Amino acid sequence: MNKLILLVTTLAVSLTSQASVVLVGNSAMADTLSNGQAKALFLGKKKNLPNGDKVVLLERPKGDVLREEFHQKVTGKSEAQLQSYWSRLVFTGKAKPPKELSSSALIKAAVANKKGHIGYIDESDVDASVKVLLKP
Amino acid sequence: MSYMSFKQKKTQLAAVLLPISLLASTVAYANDNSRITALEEEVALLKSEQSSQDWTDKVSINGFASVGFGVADNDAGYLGYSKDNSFKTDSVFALQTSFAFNENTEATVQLIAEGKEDWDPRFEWAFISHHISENLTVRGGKLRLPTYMLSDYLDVGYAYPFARPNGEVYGGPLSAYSGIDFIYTADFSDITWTIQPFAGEADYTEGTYLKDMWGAVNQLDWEEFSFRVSYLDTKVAIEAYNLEIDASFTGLGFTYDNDSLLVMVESTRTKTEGSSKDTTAGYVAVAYRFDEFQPYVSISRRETASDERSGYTAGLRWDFADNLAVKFDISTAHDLDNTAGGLAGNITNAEGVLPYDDSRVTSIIFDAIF
Repeated sequence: MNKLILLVTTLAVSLTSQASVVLVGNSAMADTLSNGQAKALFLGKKKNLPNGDKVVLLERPKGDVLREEFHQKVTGKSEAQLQSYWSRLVFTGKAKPPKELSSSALIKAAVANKKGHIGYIDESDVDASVKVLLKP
Repeated sequence: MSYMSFKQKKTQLAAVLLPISLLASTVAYANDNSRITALEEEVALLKSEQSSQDWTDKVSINGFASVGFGVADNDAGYLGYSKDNSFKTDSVFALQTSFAFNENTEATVQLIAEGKEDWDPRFEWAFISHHISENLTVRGGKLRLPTYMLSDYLDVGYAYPFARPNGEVYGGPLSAYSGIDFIYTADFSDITWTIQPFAGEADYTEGTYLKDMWGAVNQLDWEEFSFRVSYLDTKVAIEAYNLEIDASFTGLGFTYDNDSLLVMVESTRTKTEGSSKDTTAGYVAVAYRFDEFQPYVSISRRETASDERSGYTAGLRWDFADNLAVKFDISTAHDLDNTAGGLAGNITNAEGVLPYDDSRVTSIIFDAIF
């Protein structure tokens, strides 16, 4: 019986703590993004959004669970691969490393106030201030 | 000044807002913990809004470093190593800063100090870039010569799995030039085409320089595949003889990279009019990533009319911490076939014999980016 309770509790905990990452942008944005478009943006291959606005990428800090999940689903790169990849862009003057913000609240505030800013947050933190661009 | 007073106003605003939000939060939240979390987020938000228009958005500073240690089994000079172990050969420190004038125009400067140059710092990059449109960028100033696949980040050891760019193909004193280039990219569904024409001039060695230099890089990226062709044409001017010689460079490159398996193939040909120093070289390199470990091997070949040499390399890259990697590498030179093999220390001795017919270099290199 105790084991069953433990099992149910573990299951419940793991279900509720299961983060589901979504990519959000300014609520004025008309288009959503495909997985391929999001990948090109987050690898610095594209610098503009489909509406022509220059993109500003908002990343979570290294070690963040959402960051790992987002990159696993969208760019397919591990942390070490990402660092090596960006070093090739940064040290050739081709791109600047993305800005890092540490919470969903900060990302939502930046995205809501500025055109072209995009970042990923937990799906449960989505509200009317932002538009969901992609559920990878 | 107006900017300062604007900032002060923002600070005052924050000072007024903070007690208000504190009061509001006290009413709104029964739970102390969630109240503290909410307050922390509000403070962080106010802070980030205040600094978002700061100079930190306009200026970025990055750096990279490699500290290498290696030794060779003889004094042939393969990869710059000898029997006396050396910390200098593969060690490098660099700082890069860029300043954004506006959304589309940026100045970038990279200062680099290499152990093999006795740490004399030099500007490797110093250019202004301007995005004319989303697909077209023009750059002018001191730029990296884009002849090889790894040209753009030759010195950034952290950017590639190997201990160093291939010893048979890469090398030679020239890596940068003064001039202008255009980078144009076009997308056709899954394929990205990049063409980069360039023109300029460069110092080669003491008393020798390259003038009327022009060329282009053509690259196709398709999913995990990348194909690259580069061409360069120049006049080599030798001051002492008041002489100008035509020279050209052709490079072919192929990359397959699926984030686990990396295959690189590159072949280059350097031609100099009326010279026996025409060089053909190539390599095949394979690396495979198991999480933080990335073993690699390569084979390579280099031939001129008077010298020939094969190279074999095996090594392991270990990403042991954030922004830090260490590489263990063994590289050997073989099959000199009774030539000097292009090795600086392999010079015919008093008995008329070439002292070395192979060489092995063992090295360990730490790479960092910051």
